[in-house]
Amino acid sequence: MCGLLCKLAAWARKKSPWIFHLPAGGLCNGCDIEIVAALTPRYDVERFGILLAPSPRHADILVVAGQVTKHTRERLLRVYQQVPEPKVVVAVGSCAISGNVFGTENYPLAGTVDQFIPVDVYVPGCPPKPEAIILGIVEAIKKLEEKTRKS
Amino acid sequence: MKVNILKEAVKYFVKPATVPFPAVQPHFPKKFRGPPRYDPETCIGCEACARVCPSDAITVTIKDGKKILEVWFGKCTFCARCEEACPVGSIKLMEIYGMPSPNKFDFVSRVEHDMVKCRICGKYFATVKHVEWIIKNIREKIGETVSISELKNYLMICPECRHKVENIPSLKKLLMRVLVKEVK
Ligand code: SF4
Ligand code: SF4
Ligand code: SF4
Repeated sequence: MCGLLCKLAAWARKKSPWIFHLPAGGLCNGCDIEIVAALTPRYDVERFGILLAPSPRHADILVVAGQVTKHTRERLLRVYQQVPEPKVVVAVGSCAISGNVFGTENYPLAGTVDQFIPVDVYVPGCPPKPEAIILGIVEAIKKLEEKTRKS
Repeated sequence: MKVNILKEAVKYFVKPATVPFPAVQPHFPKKFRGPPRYDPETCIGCEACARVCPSDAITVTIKDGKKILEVWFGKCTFCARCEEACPVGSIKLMEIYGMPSPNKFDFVSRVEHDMVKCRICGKYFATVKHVEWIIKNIREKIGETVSISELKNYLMICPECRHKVENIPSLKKLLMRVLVKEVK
């Protein structure tokens, strides 16, 4: 029933995806700084229409950095549920991918991001270059398009 | 120092501050540390890189007479200790950034080696290239006085057999022969 409107929404989502940046707790903040660097005028992701959303309810792409700690596990799941469908998750940095030097059997840590929520794109690096993060988000936009088509 | 800052500040009035990223290649500062990669030609399979890695990003698998070294830079912290420890300069941190991928096990560089058997117990214990490299180095140090087969006799024994009491006298004799030849 929502033919034209849905098409319009899909087009808008593809042309201007909003991202929500979530540090998952177990990290050194290096990746956060690089994600913020990707948003600054130097790299300026807004020229691609990518915008930092103030709330997960407005976001299409969830950018997670760092390992999940026991305290942030609940919050991560809650934030993930708040992002409206269709949504994609980008895991940034070695910590989010595998735990890095902190390992996985450390007492405050609950596990890597992909043990709790489905991750669509991984960006390797410690921290990744802002260029790599931009490419990761571009990859995520492609995934978003696929998911939109399916839903 | 101050002049540099001023120069940097003035630059923003002359040209745009934004890096036109996909159009131009990114700038890599000096000594940039990117993902580690093996050079399968030069690697001798000595495992030094795997032992020093602080995040256990390098795994060693020994299977069917093959030693497989894998560096997964999804777990790497880009400290370059492996590059420092490598005796032949085989593993290197590249001047590239890691490409994002939907599969986290894409971020792997691997190298495979044939292994040699211990001549006493028949267990695989070192790679062929490693033994060759040690022989080459010894011969460089003490000259061509010792034959390769004699050195091989001594080197083709695994550490466990080398420490077994019943093997020590004969090995000692062999080692003495090698050392005496060196003195001459
Ligand atoms: S991946 Fe490296 S830079 Fe990023 S949060 Fe972990 S330790 Fe820090
Ligand atoms: S750079 Fe450091 S963490 Fe990465 S593989 Fe080498 S030793 Fe391990
Ligand atoms: S030669 Fe270098 S790269 Fe190969 S196993 Fe030894 S330390 Fe690692």
